[in-house]
Amino acid sequence: MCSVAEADFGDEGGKHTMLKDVALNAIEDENCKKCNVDKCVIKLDFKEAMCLSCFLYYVRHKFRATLGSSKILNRQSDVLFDFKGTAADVCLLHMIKFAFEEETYKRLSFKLKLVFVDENCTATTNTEDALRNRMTKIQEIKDILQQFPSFTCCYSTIADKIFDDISIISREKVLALIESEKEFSSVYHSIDTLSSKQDFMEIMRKNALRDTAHHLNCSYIFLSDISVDLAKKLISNIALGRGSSVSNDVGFLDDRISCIKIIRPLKDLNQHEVDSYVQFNNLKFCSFSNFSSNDNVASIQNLTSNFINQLQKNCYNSTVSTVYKCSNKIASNNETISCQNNTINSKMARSYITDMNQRCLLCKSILDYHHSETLYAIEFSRCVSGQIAANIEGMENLERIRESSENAKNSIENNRNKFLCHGCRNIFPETNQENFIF
Amino acid sequence: MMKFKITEVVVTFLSRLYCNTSLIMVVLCKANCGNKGVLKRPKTSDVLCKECFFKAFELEIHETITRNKLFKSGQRVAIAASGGKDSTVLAHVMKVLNERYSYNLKLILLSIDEGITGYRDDSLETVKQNRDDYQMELKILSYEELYGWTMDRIVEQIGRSNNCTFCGVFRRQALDRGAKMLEVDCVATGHNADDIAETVLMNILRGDIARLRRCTDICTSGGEDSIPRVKPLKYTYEKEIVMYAHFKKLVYFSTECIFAPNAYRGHARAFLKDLEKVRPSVIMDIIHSGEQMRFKDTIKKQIRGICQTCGFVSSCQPCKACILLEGLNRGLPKLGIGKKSKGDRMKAQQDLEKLHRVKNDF
Repeated sequence: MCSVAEADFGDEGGKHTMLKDVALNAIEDENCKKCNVDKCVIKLDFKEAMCLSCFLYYVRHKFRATLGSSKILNRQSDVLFDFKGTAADVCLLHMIKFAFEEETYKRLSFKLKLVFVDENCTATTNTEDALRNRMTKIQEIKDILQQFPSFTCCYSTIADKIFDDISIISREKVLALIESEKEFSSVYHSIDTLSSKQDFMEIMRKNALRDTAHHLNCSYIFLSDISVDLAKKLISNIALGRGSSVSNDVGFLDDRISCIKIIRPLKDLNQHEVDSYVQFNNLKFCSFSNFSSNDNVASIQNLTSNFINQLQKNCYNSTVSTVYKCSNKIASNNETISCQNNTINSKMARSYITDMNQRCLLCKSILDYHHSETLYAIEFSRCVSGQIAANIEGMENLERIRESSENAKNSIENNRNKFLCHGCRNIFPETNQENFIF
Repeated sequence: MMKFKITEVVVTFLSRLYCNTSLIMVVLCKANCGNKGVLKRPKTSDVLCKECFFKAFELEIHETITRNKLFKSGQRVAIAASGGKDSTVLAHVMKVLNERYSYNLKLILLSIDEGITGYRDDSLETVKQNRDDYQMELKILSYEELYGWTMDRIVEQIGRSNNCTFCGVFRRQALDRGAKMLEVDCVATGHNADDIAETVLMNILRGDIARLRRCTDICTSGGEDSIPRVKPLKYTYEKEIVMYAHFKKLVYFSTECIFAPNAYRGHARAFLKDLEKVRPSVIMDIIHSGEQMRFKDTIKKQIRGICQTCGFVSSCQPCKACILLEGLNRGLPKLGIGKKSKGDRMKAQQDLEKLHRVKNDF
């Protein structure tokens, strides 16, 4: 059977469904079709050209509709916003600010707190450089936040539990932090591939956000992921073996932990809309220089990002919207963890909850190895290679291989892997980081 | 006559294999048999000697078959054979395992002749060679006899775009027709782990949830009216299949279809190969993810039924094969491509033109 011609599916795949050669978004010198008052300033894909006020109304409405239709956010809730200073972050913050200043009946009613989670602890081993990089980044965030004086921002790091206001963070404080983060840094550097490093940082960032939310009594966390981020994350998480938790990783709501829900209110916006919004409002932002992203080195995440960008740019410009709409259809196969005694951030509580719910210690998703035939097949291959010896015959040998494969899959003899999902096991295939994980 | 054409891809791969082989000459086989290792398994990075590799490879497929209960004793099984590496290795291994573990299966080769000059005619010679080597019955069904069209003529009509849609849809049904004709209990196809991982990615890229649900199943369409299809090579890496065929000196045909190079699947394939270089386990990880995903209840499920026109398995009325065939016969080859409403409009337009055509009596 020709492997090119997959029997169930035409080789063309979705070619005919992919829209090609959409005309450039040229704006003619004409009045807005919607209000017929102002001149058009922007033409979005599949839409009529719009004037500035109609565009701003349209984008803000998208955000509010996503948030409102879900009915997840309760009134007067405390919300933590993961602020990195990117265009999407600034766009979301500006929209929230606008919504807070609306007339009473339209006004959004929740309390917003910002947090900047510093990831720079693993960037360099030179203390002087590390200090300079971190102080520069903090200053950059402070400059951006000057545009939004009504909000306060908390400073936290991915490695340590610190919840100080960003305005009072001093050089001495950062220096002390750098010293205390050496254990985390060594764990990070013991991970051998960039794919695993990026995956690890993504998980630890979410854990740090949950810890901060818990400390600040916030029951919701806002992330500013837009459609292209989610499309990339969907494919890269599938390639990382995280299919069981992918709905939480890319969906509107991540309710793995019921008392701290992660929400993505910008999920329906695309890059063009965000960039235009920021540009029209003259908002200052910075690019998120994630030290671990290292775009020039091949990793699953970087390759996926390039692949999606290339497809989108070259000829299939419905790629992002198709993939991200696909993510809307994936259901969560988890029951949520309830926060017991509000001790979600203590290691003991984590183990307790994990034991009770069969959760992964790192990412908190349901352990996915128990009934997986694929993981059994991998372990079977591994055991066969070690025990096959061409000169040994008989079913007895096969039974022994089967037993060791089943044990290896369920990590009967591996106390660390027993508490990790398949995706998290891939992060630490060789290294022994029991102390850190537990 | 033996047909064995080596494409550039295979040459590159084999040269790498030998290169690796020369590097690991001093390493002993991991199975402790005392022999020198000659290859590194891409799935587990274990170094094995040739004999241990053969045994491990075959035992893994045996385990897949028995653990998933793919066959029952006494069944007639059609092996979908194209003459390529996957189907050749599948036919060989199935014959070996059937004899070694007494499956008591009657194995038959089933080939589809799409009518692609310079490709399928050559590969069918390889299948005939396999028939003689493995002493199996062979049935060849052609698009010409089933549908009255060859792929060469279809490509003349449709051009080099969307031609693979016709080929894929017709072959899927031709396999069903062949299986019914041969009165077999199931059809075994040579889909390997790489194919399945690639299909998971493809279905996400085109947002096809219905297929995403079932593409990782090892056994599909086992309803009352349909003959199940099984994938015994589901957990076998393509690279290992090539190694097995190479070391066993199996005769296979490795030229890519002359009409396939522009297929959308090529993007997903190239992407997967890039990912595999970064992390070889990515293929199994993608299959694992595909199996673990669940979908919202609100998403419409496809219901497998029977086409009222041709009587074969389909999830829509009429089936895709019938729509495509109608398009070809009407002179509207694009009829089954894209939206159904578009096709309906094309048909209505043609019918209207026919109605207004002036009839000449002389």
